[in-house]
Amino acid sequence: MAGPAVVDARGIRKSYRMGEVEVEALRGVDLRIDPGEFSCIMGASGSGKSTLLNIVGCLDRPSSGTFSLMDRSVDSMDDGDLAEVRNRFIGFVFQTFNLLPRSSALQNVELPLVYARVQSRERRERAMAMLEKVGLASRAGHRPNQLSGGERQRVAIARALVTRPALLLADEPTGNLDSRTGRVIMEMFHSIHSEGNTILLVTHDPEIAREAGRVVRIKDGLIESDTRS
Amino acid sequence: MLPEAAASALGSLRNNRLRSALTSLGVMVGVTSVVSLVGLVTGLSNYVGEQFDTVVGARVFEISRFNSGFDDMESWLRSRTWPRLTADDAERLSEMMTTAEGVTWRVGTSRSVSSGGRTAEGIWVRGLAPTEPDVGGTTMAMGRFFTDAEDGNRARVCVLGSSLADSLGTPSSLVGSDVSIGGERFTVIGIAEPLGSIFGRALDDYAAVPFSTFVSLFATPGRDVEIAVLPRADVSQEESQEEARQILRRLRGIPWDGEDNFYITNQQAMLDSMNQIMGGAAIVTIGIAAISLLVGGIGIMNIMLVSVTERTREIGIRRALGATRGDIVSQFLVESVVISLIGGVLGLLAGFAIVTAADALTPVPASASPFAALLAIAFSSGVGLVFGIYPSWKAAGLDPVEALRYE
Ligand SMILES: Nc1ncnc2c1ncn2[C@@H]1O[C@H](COP(=O)(O)OP(=O)(O)OP(=O)(O)O)[C@@H](O)[C@H]1O
Ligand SMILES: [Mg+2]
Repeated sequence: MAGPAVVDARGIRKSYRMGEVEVEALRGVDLRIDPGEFSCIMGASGSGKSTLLNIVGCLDRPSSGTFSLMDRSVDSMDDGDLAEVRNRFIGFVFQTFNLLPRSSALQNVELPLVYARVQSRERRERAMAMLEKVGLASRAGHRPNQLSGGERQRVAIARALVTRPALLLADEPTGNLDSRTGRVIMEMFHSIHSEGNTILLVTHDPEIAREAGRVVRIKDGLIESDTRS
Repeated sequence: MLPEAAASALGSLRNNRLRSALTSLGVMVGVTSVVSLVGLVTGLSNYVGEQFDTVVGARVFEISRFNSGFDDMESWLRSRTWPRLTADDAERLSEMMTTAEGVTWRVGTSRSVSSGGRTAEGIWVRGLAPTEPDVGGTTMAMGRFFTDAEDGNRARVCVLGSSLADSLGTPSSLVGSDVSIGGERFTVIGIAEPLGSIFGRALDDYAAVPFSTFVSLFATPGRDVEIAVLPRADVSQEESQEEARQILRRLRGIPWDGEDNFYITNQQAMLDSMNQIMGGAAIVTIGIAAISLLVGGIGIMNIMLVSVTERTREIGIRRALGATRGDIVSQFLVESVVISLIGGVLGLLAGFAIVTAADALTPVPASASPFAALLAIAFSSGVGLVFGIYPSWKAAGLDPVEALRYE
């Protein structure tokens, strides 16, 4: 495989204490993702997909195991470093969109740039360009509740991409959309992928999984299969 | 970062207008009370100072059996057990003191005064020694003051205060005419220059008659007088006061270790005791302000905690997009400071309004100082900062994954 891995996770375990019982969400996962890959994670509900995605996105820390992003070990980073890593290298897209309800589409897309300390003029320009790219320039001033579900997810995608992240993470991005709107969103992911972006996407939908170049199946916190097509 | 935090704070306050307004109200009340009380107390204190300046000669000191200041019941009751301070005491003092430029003594009562068809009720009738002008600085607008001889033979002559004269007729035609004071006939021999007023009470609504005439007509001999002493120009007030004190102690047979059974006061002492009251008022002001700012601050903390809970998901989103704990802290801190500052500014305006109204409607020249404004702004931002710390710290401590999962 060419170049450094975007993601290099080894022996990732994650357990949650629920009072007396310990729940093992991940029980030793190895995952390597190369630049430009479009990978899908599949698995039953509760199998640990979101847990893995959160760790890969540096939103959560594993209980044990080592993890590098872009050849940089994340294991010993402090909270502030992790925030910067999320800001610069990761773009998140969620099932429930997770836009700020009181902010306009444009303000939502600008948000990662605010935390990247980008000056307001440049911020505005870059956010607007991203909105144009997802075809929502005309909705820049709308609040999320003035947008359809598909439009909201497009705003969320614009927000995830505005910092030009090394890795785009999406947790069931079409889960809350009807199939036709889901299609539009998937087309968008494909076009993002074709521009050379690396994507890791969680889905329950076999149709969607079939479109990806790689499918990682998780069962009970372990990788069951990992197939490239 | 700060402009974004401020914009976000204003946005979130706009979204909860009523709640933010009610929250600011606490701080507003606090700041209103600080600004208005500071304005009123300084105004009052200046006013009192001016009043004393205009009325009481700075060097004159006064001796009386009762404390003319602001005293408690207990000391008043004690004063009543002391021997009276009489005109005899005053005269002896006058003879014996070497440091006095002049000594005079005064009594007073209330009577109606009439002239021609006009009557003025409740007039302050003063029995004054002929030495009054030398000590009290009384100057005549017309006519003259009464003489030693007139005092000696209980002459029925009187001097009118300027506003009493005005209310009885044309002052110039009053001089030489007869008036009735408490049913007794007197000849007007002079009209005094106006003195003005003290604490809103007119000082020129009086009729002055010779002391001995007063005693023979309106009082019993040996009644209490107030003694006023003007020290010589070449001695200090303290020195003269001390001489008067020692003479009176001897006259009144006080043993060397006994307490004085009279009070000596001067303008400075009165001002001091006024200032003591003002100081008390200032402490009360600070107390009220502190309590209301505390209550306001707790209100802010409460609302900020609610806001943090409500916006848990928002916090998760911001953290996922790269906000550090510090970013979250500053966002919520700015928000609580902004709420508090809004309260502070409103309180400042309300306080100014109250002070301006007090200035216009009462004789007290209250004024809101830039210092009070600065204080209000400093206090309100301080309150917002202090009471915003805990909620902000709580917000920043949230786990991003948990926060994103929050329903
Ligand atoms: N904060 C938590 N505390 C306790 N247990 C947790 C926590 N988060 C996840 N788990 C448990 O870890 C396991 C994996 O959860 P995860 O959310 O990764 O599943 P998933 O594969 O994303 O499921 P789904 O398809 O329903 O989203 C589950 O058994 C879940 O109950
Ligand atoms: Mg999940």
